[in-house]
Amino acid sequence: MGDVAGDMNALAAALTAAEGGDRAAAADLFTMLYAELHRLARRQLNANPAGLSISATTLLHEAYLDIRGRTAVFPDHGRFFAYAARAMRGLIIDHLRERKALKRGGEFHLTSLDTNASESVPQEQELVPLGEAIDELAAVAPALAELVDLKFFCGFSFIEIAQMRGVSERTVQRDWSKARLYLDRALRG
Amino acid sequence: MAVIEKALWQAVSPLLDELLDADESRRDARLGQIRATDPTLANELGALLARQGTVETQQFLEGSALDATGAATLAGRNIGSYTLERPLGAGGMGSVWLARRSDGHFEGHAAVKFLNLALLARGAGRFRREGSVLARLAHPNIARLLDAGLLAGQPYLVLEYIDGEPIDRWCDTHALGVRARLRLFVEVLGAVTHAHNNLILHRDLKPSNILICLYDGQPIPKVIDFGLAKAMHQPLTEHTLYTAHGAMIGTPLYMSPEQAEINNLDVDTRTDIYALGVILYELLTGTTPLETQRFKAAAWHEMLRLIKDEEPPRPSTRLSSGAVLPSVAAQRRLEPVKLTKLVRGELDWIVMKCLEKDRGRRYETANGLARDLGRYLHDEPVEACPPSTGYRLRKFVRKHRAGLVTTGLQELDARLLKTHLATGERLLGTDRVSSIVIGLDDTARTQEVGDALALRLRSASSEPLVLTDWRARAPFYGQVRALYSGVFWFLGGIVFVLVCLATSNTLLMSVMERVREFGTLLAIGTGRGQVALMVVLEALWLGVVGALVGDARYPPLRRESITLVLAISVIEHIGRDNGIYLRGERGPCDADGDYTSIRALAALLVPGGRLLVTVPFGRSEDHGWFVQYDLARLKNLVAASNLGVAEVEFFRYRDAWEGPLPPHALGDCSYGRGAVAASGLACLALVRERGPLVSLRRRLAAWKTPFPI
Repeated sequence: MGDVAGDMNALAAALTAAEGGDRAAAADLFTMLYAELHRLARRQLNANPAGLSISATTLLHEAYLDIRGRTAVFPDHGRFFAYAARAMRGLIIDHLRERKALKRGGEFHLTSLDTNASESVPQEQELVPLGEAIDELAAVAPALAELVDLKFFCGFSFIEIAQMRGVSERTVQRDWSKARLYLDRALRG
Repeated sequence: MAVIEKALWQAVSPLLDELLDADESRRDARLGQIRATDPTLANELGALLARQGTVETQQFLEGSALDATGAATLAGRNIGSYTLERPLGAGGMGSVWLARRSDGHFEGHAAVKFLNLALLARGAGRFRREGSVLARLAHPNIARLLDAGLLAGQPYLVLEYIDGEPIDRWCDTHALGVRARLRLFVEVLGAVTHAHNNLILHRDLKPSNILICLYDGQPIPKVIDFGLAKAMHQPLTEHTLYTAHGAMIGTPLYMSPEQAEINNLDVDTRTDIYALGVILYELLTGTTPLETQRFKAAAWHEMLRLIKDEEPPRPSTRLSSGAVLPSVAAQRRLEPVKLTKLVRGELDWIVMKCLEKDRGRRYETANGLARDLGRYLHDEPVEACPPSTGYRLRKFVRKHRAGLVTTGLQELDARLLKTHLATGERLLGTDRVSSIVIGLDDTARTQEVGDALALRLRSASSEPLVLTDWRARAPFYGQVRALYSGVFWFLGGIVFVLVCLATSNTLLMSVMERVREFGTLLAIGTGRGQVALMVVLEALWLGVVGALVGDARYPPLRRESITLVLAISVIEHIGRDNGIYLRGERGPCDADGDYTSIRALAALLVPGGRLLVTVPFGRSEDHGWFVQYDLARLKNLVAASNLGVAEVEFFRYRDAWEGPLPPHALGDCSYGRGAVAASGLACLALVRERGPLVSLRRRLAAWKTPFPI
């Protein structure tokens, strides 16, 4: 673990390289954001051992404010979310695996803000292959994969994503349909 | 190994956009079409689309991965003297729980609101201070703040729990008559006045924040979430940091124009008045001034533009034009006609006074609005009145301060179109162009342009609407589609393309509808593009008339963003055809009236407006005379109006007369602020042929041979 300034420099370097198409750097960036989200989630947990839940969106907002407070690595939150949503997916999937292993314990809780939970809550064992399918989708259509991360893993609504991207809600919905078709195809053959 | 390779997906993706929106028969037809040229692609599409049904019914990915993480529940936790029972709802601001008083002193419920940490930019200290301010509010129509605090760093508010229904829904389900609605609304105004007297703004007034509950069988409105937006230090428009990633607190439908100003933190009581106006509008008409549907389709910046620029129709106009009038009227226990009649006039004025874009023209206080509604209820003359014609005219002219650009596209090809669009963009600013009118009357040219531009923008995110008057020229459709996708590509924005092959009253009305919907207009005329000019001029003229007589069927073209690019060779056609296209059977033309519409247009411009005239020339020696004649007439016109001439463009026909340019062809072009510029391919050809523009300009100065008319 380096010092904070060093971390931030590394983050900035990884971001630049990743935007230039460097895959290894993209993986580094992802790891760093993952660590940041994980750290914040832990901090929440420590502040509140009884397990007050934290929402994924709140966690992302916090991570953004936190990173932004230290450095201007990400010029805007849209770009930040584009990367961080991917990290959030990893965090959630890992979290589920871990929880499966531990049953319950001192782990943190992630929730979606939207309490209108759908009837078809995904099964934990489905999430790992889903993660792989999304990685595959990312190679084919990065924007669609990012949309799935934002919507499904981070709990953002269509309108929020539309604002983030500066497009209409209808456009986001159409992309969403396409992403679902692709993933359905990938997962269910 | 991806299930669909990237290259294939790039072909599949735009077609999916198209097919997902199509109905079944169109979809099959289109698939068949694709199959004919590319069976693999068609199979791929078919296989994907076949999944749509199961994906929908099984709600594939409908929920959230987060639901699977087994959200820790807060139920049973104690907060102060309250015990949390169940979640009531959640949103970008945080979540709300129902709580029960648990210290044994009192029975009863409260709502506990947990605020999203990320929104508390200024930290919890500020939040607490604001909380204590809110605690000062004590009014029977305001939900009380009972307590506020921090739970493990998480701020929360304890609020009086209101088990009620939003005011709009309650009024509808109880089929409340108009007067009863107004009386209820006046009570709401009492609450807002109380808060304003305590220097607290609501900033997020909307029906869901005004709940109706019954006490002793009497409906009592309760305003909730007072001042929360402030307590959160969440200026509604500071979306550069917050709202754009989903923490938007203000509902855009109720957002005032000043709130829609980016980084404008200056809001006051009149901001709440605006939102109250929207609610009153809704209580009367069942719809919001700016329609929900349009907001859904609009990107964020477009939404803000609508809020700032769009003049909503009066409530009575909305009622009379709405398809849902019978049900809206029934919910108000009135015949449709009677409802419209009841709302027309004073109620219209009162509502519109609240909705003024310029807040200086709104009611100063909620109390002022309440008093005016009271006057209405007591059949006394109200303070609000329709603005005077003079005021409206001044306002109209000010709003339409604009450049006017006319360019001629005698030959529309892709590069020429691009050049003209660039001119339009330069004058307008790209973001202002949201509509395009293309006048076409030459199918061969369309084909050419369509071919050149095809395929550019299959993935355009908003599909332009094509209106035609082509009368059974069905084969033309495909070309037109290609054309507008090309245009979309150029502008990269929300584009509305209108293809007119001929004018008709029906078409004109359609244009007006589109204009009302989309606002900005960029007109490109092609070929004998007077069609576009016609349409736009008439639209403008009708807009003037409509604004003056208050007839919403003829909405004014809006705002300063209506810099018009009238792409047409006005001069040639008006001159050569002796004004025939602007005269005669259609529209408000006077007896000798070929220029009537241009005068109307001119009336929209304040001095200093820009006119860019494109002068086509060189078709024949004769033609030079026409040009000169036209220029002279135009000069007279310009002198008679307040038009300023900023630029005169020259270009030469492709099939131009090859002889030397007759001196008189350029005539007297030096009126206005006449900087001469050239654009378009034809012009480039001219420049190549005749030397650089400088010399052209010099020659212009030398060739002053006024032509008397």
